[in-house]
Amino acid sequence: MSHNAPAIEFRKVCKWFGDFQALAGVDLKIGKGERVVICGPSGSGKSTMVRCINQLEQHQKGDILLNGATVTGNSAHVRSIRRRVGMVFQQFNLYPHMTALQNCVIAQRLVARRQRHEAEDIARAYLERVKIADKADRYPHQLSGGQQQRVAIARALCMQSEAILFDEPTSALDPEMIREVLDVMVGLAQDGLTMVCVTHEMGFARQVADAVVFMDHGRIVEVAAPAEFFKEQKTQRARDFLAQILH
Amino acid sequence: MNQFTTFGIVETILSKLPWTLLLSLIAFVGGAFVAGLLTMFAILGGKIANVGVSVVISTVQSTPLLMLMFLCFFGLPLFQIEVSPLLAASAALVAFTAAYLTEAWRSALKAVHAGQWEAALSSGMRHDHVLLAIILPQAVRIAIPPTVGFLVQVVKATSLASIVGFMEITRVGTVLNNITFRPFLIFAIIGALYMALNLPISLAARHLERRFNFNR
Ligand SMILES: Nc1ncnc2c1ncn2[C@@H]1O[C@H](COP(=O)(O)OP(=O)(O)OP(=O)(O)O)[C@@H](O)[C@H]1O
Ligand SMILES: [Mg+2]
Repeated sequence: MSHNAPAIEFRKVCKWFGDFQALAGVDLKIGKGERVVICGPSGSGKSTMVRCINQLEQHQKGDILLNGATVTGNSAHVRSIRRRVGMVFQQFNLYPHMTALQNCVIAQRLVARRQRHEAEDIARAYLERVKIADKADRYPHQLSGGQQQRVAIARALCMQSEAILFDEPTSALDPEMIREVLDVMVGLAQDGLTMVCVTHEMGFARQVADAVVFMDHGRIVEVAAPAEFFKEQKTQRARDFLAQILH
Repeated sequence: MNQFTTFGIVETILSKLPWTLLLSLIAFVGGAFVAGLLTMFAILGGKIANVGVSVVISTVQSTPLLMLMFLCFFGLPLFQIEVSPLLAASAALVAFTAAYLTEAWRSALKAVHAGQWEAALSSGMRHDHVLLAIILPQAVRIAIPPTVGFLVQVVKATSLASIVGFMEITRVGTVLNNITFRPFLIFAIIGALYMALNLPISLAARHLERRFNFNR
């Protein structure tokens, strides 16, 4: 855990699904407090890349380091890594049999081993933070998509992890709900949370990202500050991609 | 010889109803217990355990229940195991029930969206905690209607115990028929009894199905 190691570092990471290579030598350094937006065409390996960080997918070659220490290892080690990295999913994945509050409490109890009242206080604080404290006792099916995703973000924040991974957090939302979720995420970015965010919301990237990563066919094709990236793309593939999503 | 009045017939049949109920209860409780163990074993025991359980299930399910009864009744004594008709019928029905419920419960666990596993695991939860706190409560809701619905099948299946000489309502019906030759009356009564047992169960199953469908 060297003092100035990047928060997250990819070293020549390769990942195959059977014969299909989903990641073909990914190299990337993400500093503490940095916000990185990952974009690229469907199937380019964005989700796979992010999911390797917390080992929801296992890479076969190369290494991923969290604060200088490898993320791979036995199940206890992987759990300790996951405890330090939160994740927000496209489909929210809230626990449907639990209220918003309980969704935020369960891992605090079972993983962080906090007392019930402490866990509930923390949960309420983060629900407040994502502006949904008044719905703490609602079940997921009683919430809109945008509200569910904000609860999911609060759930991740409750673990007070070192970084949070977002995999297309607004892609499953109706257009009118995208804003409320992005606003919450912008707030988090401004508070200095390390964020790795797969998204095609280029406005968000422009507003908060320190770097935009463009992926294609399992490789990182471009890495640049957003101002640079949006002004001039180095590759034709990135130009085509941007033209397509911005039409 | 033919000294049974209609009332006597009804009374004699009803006197054996507790045995049908007892056999149903043994089959269901015993089968559910075995199914619980098999399901946990299949889910937590890795790939080999999972395949092993599948093999056992499909063996039992591809054998007619009648054959299971015969195997238990005539087969177990070959291994020096004394079996009464009740024991043989119970063993066969437990196996029959356990096979079905294991299949139903295992698929209920698998029917819980993979995203639930991912969300819970990504927060650092242990595998067994995820299973107990996140997956199982959702699987139970999925599994309740088919489980209760299967109770109907179990109650009907107890009638096959008559074949190994167990004196439940179907068996007493065939015996009475041999004495009185009034098959229509006798089997109408017995059919009505099965219906009376099963109707509430079916209604309960349908109610539970609506009640636990919380995901819209
Ligand atoms: N579990 C899996 N088994 C087999 N192939 C997979 C699996 N998961 C992903 N892939 C393949 O790996 C490639 C990269 O997938 P990935 O989900 O990382 O892409 P993505 O960039 O996130 O795409 P999208 O924008 O559609 O989410 C795709 O071609 C996909 O089909
Ligand atoms: Mg993806």
